[in-house]
Amino acid sequence: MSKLIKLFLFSTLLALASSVSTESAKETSLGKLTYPAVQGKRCVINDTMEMRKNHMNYITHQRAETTRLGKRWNKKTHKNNFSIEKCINCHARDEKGKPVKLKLGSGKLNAEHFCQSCHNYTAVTIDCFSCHSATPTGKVKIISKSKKKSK
Amino acid sequence: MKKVRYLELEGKSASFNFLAALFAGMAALGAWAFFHLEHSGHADTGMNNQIVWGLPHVFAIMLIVAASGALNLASIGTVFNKGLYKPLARISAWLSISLLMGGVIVLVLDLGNPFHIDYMFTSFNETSIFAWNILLYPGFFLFTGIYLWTMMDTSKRNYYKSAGTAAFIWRLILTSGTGLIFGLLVGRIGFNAAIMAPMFIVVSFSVGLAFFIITLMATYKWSNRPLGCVLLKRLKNLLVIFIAAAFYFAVIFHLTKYYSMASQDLESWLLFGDSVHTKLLWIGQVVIGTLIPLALLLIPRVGECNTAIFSAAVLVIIGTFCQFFVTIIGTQAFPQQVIGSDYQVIASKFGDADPYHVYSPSSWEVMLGLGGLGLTFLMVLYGFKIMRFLPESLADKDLDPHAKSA
Amino acid sequence: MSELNENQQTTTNRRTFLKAGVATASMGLIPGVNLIGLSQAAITDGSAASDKQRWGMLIDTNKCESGCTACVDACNKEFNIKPSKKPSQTVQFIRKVTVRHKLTKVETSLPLMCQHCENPPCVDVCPTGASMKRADGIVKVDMHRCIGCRYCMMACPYKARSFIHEEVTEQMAYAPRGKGSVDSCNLCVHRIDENRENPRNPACVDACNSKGHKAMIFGDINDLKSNLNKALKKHQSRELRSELGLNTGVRYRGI
Ligand code: HEC
Ligand code: HEC
Ligand code: HEC
Repeated sequence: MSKLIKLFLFSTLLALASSVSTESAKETSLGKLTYPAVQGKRCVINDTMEMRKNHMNYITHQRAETTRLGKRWNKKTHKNNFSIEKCINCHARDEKGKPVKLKLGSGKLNAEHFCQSCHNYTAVTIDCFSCHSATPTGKVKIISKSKKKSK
Repeated sequence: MKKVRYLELEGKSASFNFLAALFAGMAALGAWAFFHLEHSGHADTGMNNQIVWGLPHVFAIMLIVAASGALNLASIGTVFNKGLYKPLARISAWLSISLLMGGVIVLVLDLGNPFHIDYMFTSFNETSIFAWNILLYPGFFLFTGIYLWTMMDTSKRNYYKSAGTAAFIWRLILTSGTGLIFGLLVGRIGFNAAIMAPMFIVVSFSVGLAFFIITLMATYKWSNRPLGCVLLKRLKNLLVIFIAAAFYFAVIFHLTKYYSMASQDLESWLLFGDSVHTKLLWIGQVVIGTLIPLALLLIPRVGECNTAIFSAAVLVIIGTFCQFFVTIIGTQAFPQQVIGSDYQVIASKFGDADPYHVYSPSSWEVMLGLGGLGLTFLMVLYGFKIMRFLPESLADKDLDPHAKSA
Repeated sequence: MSELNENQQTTTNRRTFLKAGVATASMGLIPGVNLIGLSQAAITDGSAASDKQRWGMLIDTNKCESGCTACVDACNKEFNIKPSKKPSQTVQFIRKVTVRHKLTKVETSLPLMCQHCENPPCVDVCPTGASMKRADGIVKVDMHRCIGCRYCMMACPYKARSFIHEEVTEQMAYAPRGKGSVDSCNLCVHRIDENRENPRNPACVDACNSKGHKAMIFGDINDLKSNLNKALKKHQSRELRSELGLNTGVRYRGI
């Protein structure tokens, strides 16, 4: 229950903040959200608010599909888009496209890292990156517009 | 038949405070070890990819097995209508709950990812005896708790017998389950045996009773309550039978394993090798855990009502600890047959060709185990202080040795 | 062994059906996909692994050179496995062992890893279903569910599994792994899933081939046209610890 309230408050805050802030400056009252430096204009689903609210559901669903059934991200059909590897690939970069590390030298978590930026603020701790690599490795892939349809 | 009066411990004496501090200290050590291992990972333990289960498991399994055995006296009173034991039933039930709590905590805190434990319930694997065990533990708390309640709340008297019977059946299943954690390991010649289940039950009788005797005698001595010789002599006779039975099962177990060519290498190494396990088996399990206690209990002159029984019980616990150490760790320490019986591994980077795998536990593991023990006795102590578990007197004159249950 | 929920199971079937129609057909079903992909090898359509396939291996011990550890090294590189401070805690997916026949005293060298049993004891004993067998026969650990109890390691007849004792850093993005879980060979599932019609070999097999030993054949046992299927039919092979009746997916020749 308290989770829901937190989420709600947080979402409205963010919505307000981002409507005020200009397109280029992604500086919000919550700290810096580093968006991918890709030409890609949007996330894996074309709905930033939905992503903001429900990204955890998408990725936890995806992780079961991938791990248990073997459904993996597919370049051509864009099925199973919610691979954590891909999130990192787009998101864990600074404006110049250079990788952003999740852990600072001191072992502290880096608030500049996309996934950590809000989590820091909302005091969410996730253990995903004790196993998953948090730094992008591959090249940034752009999702073509024609086939995406947000539900 | 006289009515038994139950009274809480006053809990103000110096000895009470000393014990409380001691047990709390042990529990704190356990907590410290847990947080340390949670942070550093199991790298700081002596466990490795060969000795997969180590000292924490020995502690945990012993406490869990003892838990179900400690309930025995209550069961004898309730299910088998032995009136003499009825005043002991509350102590017995509470001790068993505490022991199980201590054991399960150690088991859980040793997990690599204790915070994933919810999957145990959300994605239950019905072919896993371990998963079943995890259900059996809460069940034991539940049944024994209800049983204890029917003992204490006279308005629930009607359910007393059925609750006691249910708890008794549950504990037999529980200990079979504990034994089968090992017995069902089909790939491991040293473990895979049906006798594991009954053997664990019999061991639970002896070590559970030993824990009970220690608790009982220490509590009554320190709280200056009378504890009669008749009762102790009965307990002594029971202990003799249980020690002998546990030994019998151990002999049969090792004999059959030795007889089979498939496990003879392992057994002859265990029984006649030069490792610490051989010593623990002969000196710990046989001499300290079986022969000396039997002598203490059976030789009439020594076997009087106090020190001898108490020391025998302590030795039984040590012996059982050694037994579990050898059963759990010793069996893992001998290289597994990985190819087939027609081949012998002569070289491997993964220890398959070692004479045996060495296990040197770190102090963290010891602390984790002691933590479980400390928690158990802390619960026992405060249970006795808060609740009316202890009869005011267990002196001979206040007990009716021939009483049949009402 | 609870899998996923109902509706995911039904999609599995549909996907399996799609799969049978070869990638061309399935790709045609999706509007807006250009045809560039067709000239390349078919890629998985994002579908679930199918029980029509079963991945496995045949290892010819006659060709396996004693002293050569190319497969082990390649595996460690693929998953970025580094030696632990205590050697006995080092994770191993694959190891080289030398065995001697008790009767003939002939010595043989062979690689030993997860045998990908049809009836894996590690899956039977796992309390949470983290130790799992995929529809296509790959036995692996779902680390999200793994509580780190190590019971699967107790159950494995081959000692094919390792516990991750220490914190892991610099994981490969395609192969997450971390402290407190059990880990083991998964036949390089990330490679297989790239293209289940014509998968890349696991890292160990690739390494063995490029060394020129060609001791390991990987493939789909059920596929009558696969090299593995043909080799298994042609040559006598054995399963390790056959008395346990596990029907392993990895078979050995020459021992
Ligand atoms: C104990 C280690 C571990 C932790 C912690 C962990 N994962 Fe994973 N995860 C894995 C492994 C291993 C795989 C690969 C499974 C495979 O390839 O079959 C994986 C695969 C995935 C996948 C699918 C593959 C991919 O690259 O996207 C998703 C999605 C995923 N995990 C999400 C998560 C999320 C979200 C969390 C945190 C809540 C998390 N994981 C925490 C080990 C872990
Ligand atoms: C193709 C690159 C790309 C990939 C892959 C990608 N994202 Fe995004 N994501 C974006 C972009 C661009 C935005 C910003 C959209 C906007 O400004 O409206 C965004 C926005 C978001 C937001 C909302 C941020 C906000 O402002 O509230 C979240 C949360 C998010 N992504 C999570 C994820 C997760 C989780 C994944 C992996 C499943 C993922 N993204 C994969 C490009 C990507
Ligand atoms: C726009 C801000 C924002 C961004 C960016 C963001 N998250 Fe979150 N995330 C949240 C909030 C808020 C929650 C808490 C939801 C709740 O409490 O139920 C959350 C929860 C989660 C959870 C579930 C945690 C739990 O224990 O329930 C996971 C997993 C997660 N996020 C993964 C990610 C990953 C991976 C990224 C980076 C790709 C990311 N998030 C980026 C805001 C964000």
